[in-house]
Amino acid sequence: MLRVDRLSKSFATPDGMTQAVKGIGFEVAEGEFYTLVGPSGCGKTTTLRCIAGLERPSGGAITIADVTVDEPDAGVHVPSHLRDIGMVFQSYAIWPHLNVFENVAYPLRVTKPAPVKSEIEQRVMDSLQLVGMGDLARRSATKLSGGQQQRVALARALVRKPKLLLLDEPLSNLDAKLREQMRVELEEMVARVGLTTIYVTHDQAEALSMSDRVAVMSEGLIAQEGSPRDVYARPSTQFVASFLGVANVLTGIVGGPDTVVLDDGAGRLSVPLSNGFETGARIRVVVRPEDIEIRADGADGADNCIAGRLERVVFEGAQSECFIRAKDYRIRVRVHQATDAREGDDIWLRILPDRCVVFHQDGN
Amino acid sequence: MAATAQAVRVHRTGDIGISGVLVLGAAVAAAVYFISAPLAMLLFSAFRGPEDLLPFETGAAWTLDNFAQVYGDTVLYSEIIPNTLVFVAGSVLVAFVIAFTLAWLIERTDLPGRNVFFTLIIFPIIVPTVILAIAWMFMFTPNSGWVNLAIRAAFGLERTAGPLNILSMPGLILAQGASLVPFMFLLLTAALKTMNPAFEEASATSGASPLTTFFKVTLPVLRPGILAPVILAALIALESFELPLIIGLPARINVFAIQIFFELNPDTDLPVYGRAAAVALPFLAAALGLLFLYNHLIRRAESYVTVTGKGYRPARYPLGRWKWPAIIFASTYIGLAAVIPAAVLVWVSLFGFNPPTVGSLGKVSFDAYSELLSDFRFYRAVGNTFLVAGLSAFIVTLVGALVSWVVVRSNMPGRKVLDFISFLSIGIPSVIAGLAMLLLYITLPIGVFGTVWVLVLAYCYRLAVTTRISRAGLMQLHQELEEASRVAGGQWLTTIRRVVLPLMAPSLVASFVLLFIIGFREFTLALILLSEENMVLSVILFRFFENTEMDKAAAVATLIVVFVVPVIFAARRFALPQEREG
Ligand SMILES: Nc1ncnc2c1ncn2[C@@H]1O[C@H](COP(=O)(O)OP(=O)(O)OP(=O)(O)O)[C@@H](O)[C@H]1O
Ligand SMILES: [Mg+2]
Repeated sequence: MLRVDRLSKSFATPDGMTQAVKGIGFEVAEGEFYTLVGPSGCGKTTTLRCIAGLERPSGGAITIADVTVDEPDAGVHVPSHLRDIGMVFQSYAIWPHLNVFENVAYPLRVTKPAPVKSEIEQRVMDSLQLVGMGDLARRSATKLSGGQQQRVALARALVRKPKLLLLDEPLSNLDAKLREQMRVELEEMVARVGLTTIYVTHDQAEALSMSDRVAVMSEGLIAQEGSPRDVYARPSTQFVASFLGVANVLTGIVGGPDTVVLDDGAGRLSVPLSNGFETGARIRVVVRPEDIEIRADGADGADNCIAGRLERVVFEGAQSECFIRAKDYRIRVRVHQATDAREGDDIWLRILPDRCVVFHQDGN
Repeated sequence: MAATAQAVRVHRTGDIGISGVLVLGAAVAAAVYFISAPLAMLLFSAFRGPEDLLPFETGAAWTLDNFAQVYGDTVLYSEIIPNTLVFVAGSVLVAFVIAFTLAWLIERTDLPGRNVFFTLIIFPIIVPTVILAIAWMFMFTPNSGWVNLAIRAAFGLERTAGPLNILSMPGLILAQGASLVPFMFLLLTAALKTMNPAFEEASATSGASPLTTFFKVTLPVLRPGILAPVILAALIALESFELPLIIGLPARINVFAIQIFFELNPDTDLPVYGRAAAVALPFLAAALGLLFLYNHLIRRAESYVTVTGKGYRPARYPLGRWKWPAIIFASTYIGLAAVIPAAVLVWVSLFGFNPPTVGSLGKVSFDAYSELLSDFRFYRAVGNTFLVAGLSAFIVTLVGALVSWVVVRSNMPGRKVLDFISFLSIGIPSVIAGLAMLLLYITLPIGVFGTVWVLVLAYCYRLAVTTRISRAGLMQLHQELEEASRVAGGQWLTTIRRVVLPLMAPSLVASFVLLFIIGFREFTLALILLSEENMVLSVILFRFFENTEMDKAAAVATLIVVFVVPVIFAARRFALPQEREG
């Protein structure tokens, strides 16, 4: 459905050229929900705007539904309005001079030939109903709350049933509670329409919860691509691991087959190691807070346990975050049920071996 | 209950202190005086007669004669009102079309040399309009205008006049329109700049072509931001005096500003103050109407400002094959409105009013300059200009800042009225202000009439400039900053002096500079209140022009421009720090 091939984009800035996107490629299948996630400034918006035709790529190619819409080397550029897309902007861009109905009707009115009046009416109302704004069709656009603007923007993007739906941080202007609610609703609405969707966000929770596939971007490149579960459980770099969630990083060296000796005598772990790690190599073991258990007793070196002292417990309602000091490490553990352990207790940490991800010293 | 109220009251005066009450009281009184006293005088004078006496001289009495004469005269309906309407509407239209095109080209397209164009377009904004008017007369009078001579020579035309005639309604409209462009251009650029670029992008991704987007999204979204400058331009055109005087008068085009001037300077008789006041009233009402419309639109424009993403400037439209037409359009405007007039003036100051020919370069003469520089009246005019512009700008800035503090921060009863009065001053056409000041100071026995001090007092009526600017500055200043000073033991006046004024410094400087420029350009007030002693540069220039001492007029104009050019570069650096990337 969508193919992006070695896409690059540079901007002229007062202090020279900056390369915002450095040659990225991915393919999105019909009906897929594909997310670009990454820290601020990594080039997500730029990529999306290239796909929308709002920005001209510097190199590479973009193909939508087997039509090449951008290929600077061949002089190809199809302007935005000739691409069959719908887009929701971060600022929503609800036109203040039109009411809700007219905002949503706009894409139909500007198509040539425009559908007949009754059909426009029907499709606009369908679209507004879908986003739950059916009652507010005649409301002035300047009198909408953030969440309502967001829904109208979505209805407008969906109304002409485009081939491709592009969403640029559509939830980032909402307050925290609404954001969480809209996350679920948005996904359901998009799923109901069954459109191919490209979603841009810097929020890892959105990326993981909504997508069929995610691409984690960093500095203009895709660091890793895959299903949310895969990318979360098997990050390919330390950057991806820590970007997608809290990660404890333990340093050490390979002590033998499937054995890691942690620095400072904090203990030994048995972790499945692939062939790439030779004995004596310096490595990092990354393990998420929910992949560690707290036990009252254990033995050094046995059963993947290391000793530590519980420094602090932060109660968060459904779960608690525990901070444990083990030699030089401060390890974060998430426990779901109430623990008996108190701050100051000496405890044991059991690290689940198959949940650990091991990287070389340089993070790869 | 009474005791509590008492306690609160005591606490309040204690808050501001006696010195504070005095300072604020003086500022409020000054503000009210600067605007309402002349207006009241204008209103009363319209009902005073007979015409050969001053309105409040002994012997004068209440009468309706002035109205009977003014409104019984058919010239008002057959000439003055229609002429004024055509003149205002025409020049606003001309200005809008040119200014919007230029603003759009510079703000939204890849027009080459945008920075240079920008500077040259706004350049005339600080030059007195009289200068432009005179330069255009040099260029376009039917008989001897240089452009006409050049066209006749180039096409071998056998006539002695034309083909272009600035001494006509179209000529006057084009000139007034062109002179309004810089100001409108600045406001329209700002409107284009603040528009969320995603509005247009959303239209493109909805499938609308660029042209559809322009008409269905860009223009409607900008509408309030466009209409406000249009209304303001109409207000300026309505009060415009220089061009109607210099171009309209010889062309016998009678608009209302000129009519008032006629009543004050009739060819034969004595000035008829009461009649002038009677003419002024309906136009004052019209101007205030426009002012309220403007105010309404500005509020509307603010409600159109919606959430903007942290956007970069939108990509500029590539002009493609329209590049050269665009460059030619912008250059033509700049050529006719800034560059050629400047060149013509310099030339005339050095070579006299003879069009350039091959031989003329040898006849360069600095006589005009040396006469000027040995004439004490010229130095007096320079001194007067700076004194009047500087002192009035200082007074108005200070009074305006205090008044806006009262309006924003105090709970003084009647502060809304105060705000309203200061706001009114935008809507008072300067001819009417001049007339009102004349009536006031000719009547008040305080001995300022005919001195420079009357100009200082008169220029002070433009209070709205500061109250608007310093109010915005004050609103951004968190009240707690003041409270922190008071908690630290600072008295009210100390707080104002050591915390509020320094923190407001940027807006105070901005308003001073703006007022100084306005005062520097001022012509109307200075001409109406003219005496031998209080002449300023713009008036002395006009006087030379009237006496057909063209080389001297041009020399004064050249010196003003030479002085003003560095100012605009400083001002651009200072007042427009936003990106103007190349
Ligand atoms: N029009 C532009 N001119 C100059 N630089 C730009 C422009 N647009 C983007 N950039 C630069 O390109 C880089 C990528 O920007 P982009 O907006 O794509 O980031 P992003 O991943 O969307 O970030 P965010 O999460 O903050 O929105 C940034 O370093 C930015 O400074
Ligand atoms: Mg972005």
